[in-house]
Amino acid sequence: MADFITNLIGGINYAFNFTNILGILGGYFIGVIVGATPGLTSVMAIVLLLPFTYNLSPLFAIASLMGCYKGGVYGGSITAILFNIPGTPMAAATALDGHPMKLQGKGLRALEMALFASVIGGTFSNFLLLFTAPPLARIALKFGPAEVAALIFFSLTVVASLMGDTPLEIWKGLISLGGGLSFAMIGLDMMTTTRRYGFGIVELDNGINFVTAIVGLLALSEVLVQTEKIVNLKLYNFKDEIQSFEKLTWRSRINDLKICAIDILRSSLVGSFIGALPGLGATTASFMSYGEAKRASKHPETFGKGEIRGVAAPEAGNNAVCAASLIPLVTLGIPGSIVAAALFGAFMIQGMMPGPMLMKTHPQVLYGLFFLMILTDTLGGAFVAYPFIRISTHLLRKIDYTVLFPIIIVLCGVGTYGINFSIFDIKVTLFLGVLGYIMRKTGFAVPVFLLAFILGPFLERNLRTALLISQGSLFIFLKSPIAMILLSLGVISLIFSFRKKLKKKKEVI
Amino acid sequence: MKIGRETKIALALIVFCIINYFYLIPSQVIKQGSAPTYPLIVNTLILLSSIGYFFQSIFQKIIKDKNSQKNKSLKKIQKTIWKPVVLIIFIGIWVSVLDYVGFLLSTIILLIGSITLFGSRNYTKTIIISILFSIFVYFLFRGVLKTALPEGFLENILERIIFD
Repeated sequence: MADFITNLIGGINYAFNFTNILGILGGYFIGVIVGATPGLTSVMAIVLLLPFTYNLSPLFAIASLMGCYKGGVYGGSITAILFNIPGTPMAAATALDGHPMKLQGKGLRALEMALFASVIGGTFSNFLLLFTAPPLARIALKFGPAEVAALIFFSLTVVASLMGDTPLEIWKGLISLGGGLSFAMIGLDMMTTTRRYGFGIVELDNGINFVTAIVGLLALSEVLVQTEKIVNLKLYNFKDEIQSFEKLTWRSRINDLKICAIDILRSSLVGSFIGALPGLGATTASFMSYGEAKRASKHPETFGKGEIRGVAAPEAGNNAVCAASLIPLVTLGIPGSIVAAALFGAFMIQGMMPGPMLMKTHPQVLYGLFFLMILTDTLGGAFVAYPFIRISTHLLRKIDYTVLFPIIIVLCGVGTYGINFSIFDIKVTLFLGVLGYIMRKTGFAVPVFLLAFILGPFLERNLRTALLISQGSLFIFLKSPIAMILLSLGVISLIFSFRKKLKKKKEVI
Repeated sequence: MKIGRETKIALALIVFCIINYFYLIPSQVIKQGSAPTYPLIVNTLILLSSIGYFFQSIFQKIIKDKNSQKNKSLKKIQKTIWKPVVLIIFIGIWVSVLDYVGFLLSTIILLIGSITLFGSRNYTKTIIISILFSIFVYFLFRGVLKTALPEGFLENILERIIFD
């Protein structure tokens, strides 16, 4: 406990300065704009900003990216409420009641409740991260190579099994997993330093840079997918009249908060729980929170027709995922979601390896980050999102997708060029962008591929180290209770997913 | 029996795994002096998953329904896929000429081409935005981030005007 307080105070001292506050507000602002823009996601914003963080200080860089993520998660609700076009998939549940509220002349009430719920949900999970990360990290420090390899296997299989809706998609998820592990092998063998899958290309000796992979697979492939939809994107040039918002008093706001208090608390718990698990994400959290709020309501028939609790619940849920999704990352070094994978990249760029050792080697940075995340929700909500609500309609009407996506292409290219000042990296980005596009068109899960790519080197290192210790015997995994449990859980989750989805398919047929 | 798209993909993956076993791993891993254990494990995972995918696709009851809609979906694919393909070609050309003509000129041309591909017909606005954005990024990298971008004659002119 004494260590915790000392580290926390040290982190606050280290983090609390004007530059970092500016960083989180700047990141939050970019996130809100990007999140509010249909066709873009906060993940894309983080991925595009990632290469530019090389020269920034660790805390500023990571806190800004976190601010961008949190802003993006809230930003999606703005267009969901105003135009019934969710800016991000996780805002789709918000649109169910948010847009009907807007049509009833209660648009501002919906937007503000979405903001308040986001701030409360986000703050809740920030504190959860702060108090659960240290004990979990202490447990994780006791893990040996067999346990770590088993944990990575468990995480990847859970993500692969949860990503699909049908048994076919689970098989594809496993293939994507294998593909990601294969691409991670390109370069020098970590133990023998001999070449693997280099095909005589010297630039591949260091393997594929994870920032290059993230930018290509997520950002560039998304642009290629959006290119096909460009006809539909024109619908997003909002033709709605600009309506003035209704007037609200602080008494009415407090009343609304009282009405939604229990739903916000419940959704914060749901979102935090889901965020801590690998593979589920904010979209699942928002729909589950909405479902729970409707189920628990005395008047469920009002949901879908402009019920304010139908706005508060999903927004608290999806924002609660943000900090909770960092729990496996900072405690175990396992990114359980694409955003966590991008933030994993951000840590690596700064020379810090996420995981239990990070809490030992850089406690000030980590606790400072936790503190800044607590500030992000409150300051971002008050100074960025709240004023933005008023001007959002005017601003969003001006977005021109025909210019936006080409700009993103250039940013992808220069961002990856800036890593090693090599044109080869841009070529790799293009290759991976095309690969990501083909994967999306054929139904293969890009997030699983990317997670496997990032975790592949760690899986290999720990697996090979474990086999070296046991002199090649796989019994080392059987001798460790933790490894056995994790491996069994991974296999069980796959079997369970197959059975559940086969059963669902039979019901549909 | 007609083979569905999913089955074809599964077969292609199985063929790739076999090629990996008998050609790629021996030439790109073993011959280079590296241990093949881990690559073999991963390849086996992909092969087993591809076999599972193959059988699952065959057992899908809706293959016949998909075939009856095949002509409709094929036309739709042909209608929309040319734009991403053209965009990929544009980006490929941009990457190829970056080192030779420099960042500014190649990026301006890329932006003009891709903005037009995305549907903009206001050519004046397209050209102005392309030039301004390219210069903005150049100065962001050169002036703020102190990072060099591939240089050509336009960059040399700007350097002489601004930085000298």
